[in-house]
Amino acid sequence: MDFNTEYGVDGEDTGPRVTIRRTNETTIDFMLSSTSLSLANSLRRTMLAEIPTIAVDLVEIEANTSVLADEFLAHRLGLIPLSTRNVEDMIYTRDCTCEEFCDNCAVILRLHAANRNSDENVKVFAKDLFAETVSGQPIQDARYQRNGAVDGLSSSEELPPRGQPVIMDPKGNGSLICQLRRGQELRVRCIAKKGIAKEHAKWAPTAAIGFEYDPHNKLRHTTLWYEGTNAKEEWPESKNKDWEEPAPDGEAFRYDSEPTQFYVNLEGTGVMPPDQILHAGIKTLQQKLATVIQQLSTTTDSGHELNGAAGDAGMGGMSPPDPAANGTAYGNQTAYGGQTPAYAQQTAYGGQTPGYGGAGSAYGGMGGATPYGRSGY
Amino acid sequence: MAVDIYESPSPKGKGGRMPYAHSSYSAGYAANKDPRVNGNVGSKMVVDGVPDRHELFLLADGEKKITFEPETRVPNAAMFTFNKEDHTLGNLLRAKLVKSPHVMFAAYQVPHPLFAVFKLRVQTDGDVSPKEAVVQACKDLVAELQMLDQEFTKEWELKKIAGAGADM
Repeated sequence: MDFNTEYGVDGEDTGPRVTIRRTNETTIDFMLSSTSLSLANSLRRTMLAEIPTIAVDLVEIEANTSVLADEFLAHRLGLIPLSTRNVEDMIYTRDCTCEEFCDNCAVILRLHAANRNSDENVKVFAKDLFAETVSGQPIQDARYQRNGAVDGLSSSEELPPRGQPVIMDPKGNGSLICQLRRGQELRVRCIAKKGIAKEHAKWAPTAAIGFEYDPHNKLRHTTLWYEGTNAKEEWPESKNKDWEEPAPDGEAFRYDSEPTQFYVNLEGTGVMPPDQILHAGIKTLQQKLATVIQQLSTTTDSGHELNGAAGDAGMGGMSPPDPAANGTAYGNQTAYGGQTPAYAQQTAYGGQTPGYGGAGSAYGGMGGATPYGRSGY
Repeated sequence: MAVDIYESPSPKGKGGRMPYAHSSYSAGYAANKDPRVNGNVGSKMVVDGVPDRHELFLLADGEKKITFEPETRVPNAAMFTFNKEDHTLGNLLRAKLVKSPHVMFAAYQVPHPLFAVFKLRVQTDGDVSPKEAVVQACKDLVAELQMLDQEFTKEWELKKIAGAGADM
């Protein structure tokens, strides 16, 4: 437990190591080493279920004479990948001060398609969704085309504006929503909101995360089933086998050794570049831990809450919408920020998150009073 | 319109209201947005007793993230109850705590899979209190994640500079 302050910018012998093996615009295949299984797994779980993204959550059907039932369409619309560019600036509808939804917590997508008189079916694609504000002003439609990801590494700059459908196929159509026969019409208004995949998988930024360790089964966490005489003959080798030495023959089994290398294949859906998924996962996990620290620092060793803790004053009478935010002055009380100058540099997130800080919601309640506040924890 | 009926089950009493259009469907779960509440033709299957999915991660009104009680029969031990958390945090904390020289015992348990709660029991050697041990574990993890973030950023930038081509 001696990490505290002594680490430099370019990572020394302590601390996790990353080796990026392959990338493209939605995927990173990397190796994580010098860390624990629990940390790697928690990160994996966080990236799968707890990163905020945007998806259609409410659908107002104004006209639907297609063959698909309304709720069927609503479900399909929910699953369309929408750009998460600047989600940090967006507020959860439940935390927003508006009546039902507003431009701070929702993006409206309009779809109007009809087959007036054609014998051929009209196909309705995600590209036919047009973003607008709640009051009906069209959001500048930078109908974007992904330009083939030349270097195989994408950045968030390549994403369309927040809430617009992410279109990655060469024809620029996006997902197929439905088909219309002659005389059929579809007119819907979709309300896209911010959410996490724990609530519904449509908010997942990842399609899958491959996770492997110990390809030679040196730790014997796996028992290989075999029919013949030797498991090795029947089991294909993992493609990660070349990254580790197999156990030498005749060496005694080390029952107390722990896994330290993890092969992660992070596959995104395209709503967020894969590096952003990883950063967002780390940030989400840190916020979780920060909530624990903040909460425990206002409690005595016998489990009683400290009354009139410095924090109450710190919130300056704001009433946070979320009890988790019961904003006791995290930084002030624990000198946490002070201990770890590295956080202060990490303003990349903080600067962009008025959604957190400004609204006095869960994390930025202190609004920059501490390095923690600034970094959006 | 019976807006109040409609509104009450939403997490904060906001954001769950019926849109003004004549018919609407939730693409999500949202039994609280059931169009049938307003007499529209709806199709949402309503099953009693199924908890709303936001209950997995949103603290109920007045609920605290963590409560803990010292164990009365064992010195320097405490049982922490984490609300609206799961194995993601439970196993992470447990694994970190057992590596601390001051911690003699640390284990966690999810009492029932349908409730987003886990319990963490920590016993220390007396040099630090269980609460301090947990706080320290959290701080170390935050720092470790920060290092990971920096390390990844560094590798990513290097990969970008190297150009690498679309190599997948």
